Order: sequence, then structure tokens, then C-alpha cells
Amino acid sequence: MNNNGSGGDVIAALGLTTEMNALGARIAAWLRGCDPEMSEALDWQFRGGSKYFRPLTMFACYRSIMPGPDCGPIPPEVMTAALVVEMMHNMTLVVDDILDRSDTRRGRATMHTKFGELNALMTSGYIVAAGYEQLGGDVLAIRLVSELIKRLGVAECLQWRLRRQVLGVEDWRRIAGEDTGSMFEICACLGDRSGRLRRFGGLLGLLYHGCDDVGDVRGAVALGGGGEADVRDGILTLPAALAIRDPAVGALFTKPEPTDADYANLAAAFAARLPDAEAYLDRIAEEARTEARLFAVDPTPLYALIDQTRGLSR
Amino acid sequence: MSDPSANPLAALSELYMKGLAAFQSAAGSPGGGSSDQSGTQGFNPAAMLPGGTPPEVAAALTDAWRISATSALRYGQALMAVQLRYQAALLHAMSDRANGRAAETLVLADDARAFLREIGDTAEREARRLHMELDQVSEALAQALAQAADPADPAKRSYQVKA
Repeated sequence: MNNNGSGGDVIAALGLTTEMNALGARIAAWLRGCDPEMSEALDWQFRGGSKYFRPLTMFACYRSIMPGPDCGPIPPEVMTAALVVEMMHNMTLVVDDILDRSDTRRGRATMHTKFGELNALMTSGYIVAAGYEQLGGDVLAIRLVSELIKRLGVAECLQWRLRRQVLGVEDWRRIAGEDTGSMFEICACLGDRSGRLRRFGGLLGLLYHGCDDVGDVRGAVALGGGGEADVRDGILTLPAALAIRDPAVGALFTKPEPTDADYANLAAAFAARLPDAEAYLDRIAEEARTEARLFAVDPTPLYALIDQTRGLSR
Repeated sequence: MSDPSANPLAALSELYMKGLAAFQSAAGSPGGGSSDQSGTQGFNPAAMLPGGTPPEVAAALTDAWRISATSALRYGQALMAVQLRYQAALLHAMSDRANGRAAETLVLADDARAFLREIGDTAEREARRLHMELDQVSEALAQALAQAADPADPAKRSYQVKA
């Protein structure tokens, strides 16, 4: 799962500064009410510098369906759902960090590194239960959040089962669509409360996932590597899906016990396909723009989300 | 064909088929092909409704007909665009294989799968668009009838149709 954020510029441009501050206050209030046994770990996780791109997506979707100065503030049910989405997102980060054996995230120790695996696992369960508690009787939100958690679990298993296989871009699209795509699909549905922007959300998530894949390779290249964690795990990223179309690269990708030289060759092959990956991401961004134009009352906030996301890989 | 004056549903069905034929004919004629109402000049679906149809209903059904016919045309055009976008690459790859040249099976399969997905996406997107546009007509009709019944009624529908 990916973890990048939204910039202050896009928040201000969307006129959502007040709403994002209100969300921050909601998160702080929830943290204050948590069991003291869990407080330190939860504080560590939730005060780690998230930029709340998922809640921002929800608010932008709401604004794009209910535009204009007379639409009023973000309704309480959307604000609460934004809190819950941020909670669920953090739960996935805790679990991901355990599975990936990641020592740091956002430049600080991960929860399991600082508090141990037992605390991290129990805290992730606590977050899920507390999230449903927050939703109260909002049946629509309960149904959507349940869908999200199920799909994220399936996506992680699918991605792991399909590692080190010569698959295509369409397979990458399916995996990414269930992983980050499902998160943003649900954000869109919780924001528009009608499902009208579901497909837009899915495409935005797909774009986010692809930009993260490309950004990893680009960032690693700048550091002399090539998206090394994904390369070593044999994860089907977008650059990988494009590169393994070459049978020689595909053979390296599926090799049972690759050497360091094999990893270096794979990383170089992935980096060589970055222009193709960027072009593919441009097409996804265009699909998302089409969805926004056709199904939003005012697509302007959605265009801003697309532009913000597209910039993540550049 | 059943008597339209006795069976409003049959009348609507007949109306739709005639209208679609007129629309397609207009779209295929010189200067046609646009998806707006200009291709339907001279065709008045409301005139084919049974006598006594309330004007609000007639207006809504006329709108619905126009929207449906436009949707059908737009769907055909979108399908054509997808086919044009993929056919060159797919034919080229298949030709390479037939001639024993080094065609990459994975690339061909991926392109074919993308083509199939886009065909499905096109149908699904057009269906959602049609559904949304017809919903707006339906809501507008409900609101118009509610207001016509008694504008001062405090229990009248209070929602606004989304644009």
C-alpha cells in the first residue's frame, strides 16, 4: 500500500483548509478518549505527519457533487467517515510495516519497531473496532468501510501470491485497482454519498499507486538503486510489468534465487521503462479526468486531485 | 403492433424505435453526426403520445427519448474509437506471428486484454451516464408534478435536482 500525502497548496486551492483543520481536531479528540494503555502507541502512529490525502479526496468529492458557496460546511457524516478512513489507513500502515519488516516510516520508527509486534498488532485491531464505533448507525458508511477492509485484505494476498511471475500491465492494473484503487473508490463513495464518483475514485487510486511505483524507482535511481524492496520481493509494479515484457528481463524476474547482480540488472531494466510508465500514467490521468467531467457537477476539485497525484512521480 | 391509444407502453416503444431511426438517419445524412438535437428537426415524439398525456409527462418522455437516442449513438461512436485505437497494434502483432517474426506473446495478450477491458468500460460508462441523465429527467418530472398539484403544500418534495 502506498503512503504519500497532499500538499498544503492543493488544500488551500480547494478551499478546504478549515475542513482539514477540523479533521485534525477530530483525530486529536479521538486520541484523547482512547484507553491509556494504547495512547502512547496511537499517538506515535497518528501524530507521525500524515497529510490526509484520503480525507482530502472525500471532501473534494463532496464539493464536486455539492458545489457553490451555498452548499454549507462538510456534513458531519462525511467528516466522521473521513476520520474513520484515516484510522483504517493507519491500521493498514501498521500491518504493512510489520509484513515488510520496515524499521522506519515518514522518517521515524514504525510502531512495531518502537512498541513491539504484539502492541502493534493489538493496536491495529483496536483502531478497526474504534473506527466502527465512530460510524455509529451510519449504515452506508459501515457497508463501505467493510467493503474496503475486505478488499484491502484480498489485494494484499493477491499481490503476494502473484509475485515473481511474468504477468502483464492488465494484471498490474487489477492488483493496484484492488489495493490503492479500492481505498480511493471508497473515499469517493463516502464523499459523494451516492456512488456517482466511485469509478473516478478507483482511477485516482490506480494513478496514485502507479505514481508511487514510478516514484520509488525514480527515487531509488537517484540514490543509485532501483525500487529495491519491490524488486527483491518480486512485486509486480508498473515499471516491472512493462520491463518483463522483454523475455530476458522476465527470466530474471522469475529466477528462484537471484544474485545481487540480477537485482541490479532488474532495477536498471525497470528504470529504462520509466518513460513508458509515465505515458501509461498520463492515460490513466486522462481516464480520471473524463470520469470527473462526465459525473461531477463541478469537476474542478477533482482535476486538482488528479494533478496533485500525477505530480507524485515527477 | 398494438393500438397506441390503448397501450401507452406500446406507444412509447414504437415512439422510441421511430425516433431512433429518424435520429440515425439524420446523423448519417450530410451535415449530420452531431449528438445534439439538430439531427432530429422535424421529428416530434410528443405528438405521437396518446391524447390526454399530461404536458409534464410528455416533455419528460421527449427528453428521455432524446437522451436515449443520443446515448445509443454516442456508445456506437465510442466503441468505434476503441476499435480504431487498438486494431492497428493488434493486427500488426498478429501478422508478425503469422509470418514467423518475433512477436512477443505477452505484449499481444496484454494489448488484447486492454482492448477487451476498454470495450467493457465503454459500455459501463455509457450505461452510468444514461442512467444518471434519465434519473435527472425522472426527478425533474416528479418535482414538476408535485409543484403542479399544489405549490403551497408544505409536504411537497423539497429536494433539488442535481445538474
